[in-house]
This record gives sequence, C-alpha cells and structure tokens, in this order.
Amino acid sequence: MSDFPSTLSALFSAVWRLEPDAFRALTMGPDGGKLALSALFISGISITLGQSVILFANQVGRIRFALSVVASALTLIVGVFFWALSIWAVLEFVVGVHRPIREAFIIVAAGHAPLFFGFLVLLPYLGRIIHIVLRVWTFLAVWVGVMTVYQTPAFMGLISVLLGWLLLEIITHFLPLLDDFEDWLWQLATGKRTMRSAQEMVDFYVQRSRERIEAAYKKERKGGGE
Amino acid sequence: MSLIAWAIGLALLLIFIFALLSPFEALGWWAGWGKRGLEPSPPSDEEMAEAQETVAPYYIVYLTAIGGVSAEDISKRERVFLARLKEALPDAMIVTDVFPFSVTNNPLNGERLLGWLWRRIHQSRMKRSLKGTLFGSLIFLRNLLQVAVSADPRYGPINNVGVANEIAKSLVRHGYPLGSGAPIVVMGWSGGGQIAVGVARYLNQGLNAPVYVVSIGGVLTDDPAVAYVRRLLHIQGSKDKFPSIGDILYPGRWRIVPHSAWNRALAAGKIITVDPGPMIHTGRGDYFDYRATLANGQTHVERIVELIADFIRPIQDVAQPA
Repeated sequence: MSDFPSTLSALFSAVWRLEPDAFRALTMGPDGGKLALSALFISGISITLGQSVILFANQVGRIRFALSVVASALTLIVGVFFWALSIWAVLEFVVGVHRPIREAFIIVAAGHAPLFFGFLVLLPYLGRIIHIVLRVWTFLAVWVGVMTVYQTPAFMGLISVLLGWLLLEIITHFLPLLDDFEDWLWQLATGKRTMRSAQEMVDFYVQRSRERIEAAYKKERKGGGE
Repeated sequence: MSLIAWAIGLALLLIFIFALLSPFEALGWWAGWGKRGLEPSPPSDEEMAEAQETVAPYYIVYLTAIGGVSAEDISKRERVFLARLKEALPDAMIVTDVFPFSVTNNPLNGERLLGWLWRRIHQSRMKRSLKGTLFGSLIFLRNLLQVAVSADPRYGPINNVGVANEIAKSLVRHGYPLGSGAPIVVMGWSGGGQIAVGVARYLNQGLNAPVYVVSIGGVLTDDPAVAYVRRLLHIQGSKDKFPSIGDILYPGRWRIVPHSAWNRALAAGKIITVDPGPMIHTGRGDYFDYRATLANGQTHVERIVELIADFIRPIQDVAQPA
C-alpha cells in the first residue's frame, strides 16, 4: 500500500505515453481497479477545475464549489462506467470477445488519465484547444487499452470504442437516466435549480439592469415634473 | 544549466501561472467571492445623486492600452491626444476614468492583494531603467491576458459585462441621460480595442443606446459583440503589426469563415479600416506622437484626431441634445 502513490504516478505516465503494457498490467494486477478508479477521480477533479467557469457563472459559493468539484468527478465515474458497459456489450455481443466487465471499466477509467491535465483548460484562448486535445488523447488511450487487453486488431478496437460511445449516446438519449442523475447531483451540490451558461446568466443580469435603469429614469422624470 | 536557461524557465513559469489565474478576477467578482461584490445593476441611487448636471449630446469613453496600470496614470501622449480631441469635438463628453482591464474598475495600483507589487513595478518602470523595463513587461503581460479573457467566449460575457457596468456607472457620473439613447463611442487603444468591442453588446442592451467603436491600433478578435456595434473605425498604422495578431489567432477573423460575426459586420459595411500613415504601435512614432510628422507636415496625433473627428461628426449631427 505504501507504493500506491508511486504506482499511481507510474500509471499516469504510462497511459500518457499510450503504453499498451500499462493496461495489461492493470487488468492482471490485484489493485488494477483501485488504481484506475483513483486515476479517474483525480483526473475528474482536474477537468472539473478546468471547466469551473460554469460554477462561477452560476454564482456557486465557496463551500458548494468544493462540493460540486467532487460531485462532478463522481459524475465522470458514472459516465465512465456506462461507456465501459457499452464497450463491453459491443465486444461481447458484436465482436464475440468474452471477457469480464471489470476489465472494460479498468481500461476506460485508466484511459481518462490524460484528463489529469484538465486544469489547463482554464487558460484563456488556449484552454479550448487543450480541451479538444485531451478528449482526443483520452479516446486514443481507451482505444489502445481495448486493442491490448482484448487483443483485437486496430480497426476492430476502434469500431468497438466508437460503437460503445454511440450506444451510450443512444441509451442516454432515449433513457435520460444519466442526465437526470447529473441534474440531481448538480442541484444537490450547488443548491441551484438549473445549470445556466455564462451568457444566459449575463443576459439575465443585463435585463434586470435595464429594468432598473428604466425605473430610475421614470423616477427622475416624475421628480422633474413635480 | 546556464543562468539564461534558468531565467527563461522562470519567465515561462511566471507566464503560465499568470495565464492560469487570469480569469479569476472576473469569475470571483461575478460569483460574489471578492471584496468588491456584484452589484445588482448600474447605477446606484448615490451615483444618480452625484451625477453631473451637464448633459452632452453624445459620450466618448476612452480605454487605455495594455501598458496601463490605471485609468488615471496614462501617458502624456494620451493626455495630449484627449485634449486635442476635446478641442475638435467640443460638444462631446469624454470619459476617461475607466480602467478596462478590471471588472470592478480597480486599478492595478489600487486596493488589491498584489497592489503593493504593481505600485513598485510601476514606480520602477517610471525610472526607465533596464530593471524597470523588464518588470514593467509584467504589466503588459497581465493586461494582455485580460484581453484574452475578454475575447474568450467562456469568460468574455462575465468580463465584458463587468467592464460595461463600470462604463455605465461612469457615464451616469458624467451626466449621461438615462433613457435618452444618446450615442456612446467607445474608443480603445491596443488591447483596449478588444475591450471596446466586448462591452458594446452590454452597453447597447443595458442603456438602449447606439454604440460606436474606435479602435486605435486595436488588437481585435472575433468577439460576436461586434454585431452590436453600429459602426467601427479601425485605425492601423502601416508600421504597426500588432493588430494583425487578432487576424491570425482568431478564426472568426479569417476570410474562410464568412458567417462569423466579424465577417458579417465587414460585409455589411459596418467596419471601416483606415491607414493613417507610417505609425507604430507604441513609443516614438506611435499614434499619439505629437512631435513625429507625416509627409504633409501633420503630426501623428493631429492625423488621428482628424480621423476620429471625421468618424464621430456624423454621429454628433444626428444626436439630439437630451
């Protein structure tokens, strides 16, 4: 247990380099699930901080901000579980590769290690580009993991990961369970009923300002007329 | 490792930290985390009471460049320019007390955590030593990052509504008649140009007034707020390459994106670009130089004032005194 941090750090660096052995070792080792989950949680915290503008925009207080960062990392874990489930289903029923679902979860969770750099999304201008790079990097890591552990050819691995993602999109579209869970967790953590974009919040603020200005103007005119 | 490599590494680390923290002033203000909280709306009753009695037919707001530490500490060249502009447009009310790189109009040398540091850097810069120039570049960097925050669609709405709020308050202090729809000209130099475009949307919507923008060597981005600008005058000297940064870095400025807000405004003839002659971005020979002359004998500042006055006069002609 004392080498857990160093093993975790080695896991991060191996996944960043897209090393197939990292996924092999994780799925074979006894601590693979724990390590992958830890990596996913840390990456989830980082990417949430990178995208924290939404929390600021919704005027979330300091304590609830911290709670929301943790809640958002938990949401990522749930999302990863469903993506892993979809990939496993595709491999099991379409490709015909029979392996335990635990392995799919480990691959997808560890594949999110590039999101460790998610806090960089905060950077003005560059942040949006970095976000795209991290998403592509994550996708590549999951692809490498599937190819390695399931021993599929590159093309089949790619199709499995893509179909898994598509299946997840279809499921959440027709059965918005994941969205409902996200909404519930958002309300619980932030205390805000709806998540609004920065532009929506600002437009609302400007509208209120304008109403106040008009009221002040009417008051001024009334005062002048008396 | 050599000392130079260490220095470069340290400088890069500093830039990285600055960049990472740059959105937080605006975000903290909006979320109510800062000391200077989010006020419900401009203007307060106190500001209404303090408002100047004189009413002008139109208002010009001047926003300084990224080298500024506050709205007050502007260069002598800028002061000369503003005085000349007032002479050319005597009916205008020129507002100069808004620092464009702070959502709360809080100058760098004002009440803030690192206020002491900015004050020392500014003092050091005033001595015109090598050390002063080196440390002074931190001011440029800090404000440049605020321009990037303003142009970023994630942070821009929050940052720009904050600055617009401060401009609106200042306009009221200077006698802007609420509800009159008196035209507002927001004029920005360098990075102030982007801020001028960014605030246009909120000034237009909040005050229900037509907003014009004058960009003096402005580094303009693809901010969608340009759709809310009635007309935009962009002055770019033939020796000033800085504004081209915006052309390159922001895809909405590229010709291959014809439906961007910028290109639609351009197609609608709302953007006028003028080359005033061989002027540089800043320093001797820049837009506000009152010694450097053009081939016709006109000083740089005279030419800039002439261009701006020609742009503003038609606005003045239609603006009715409230």
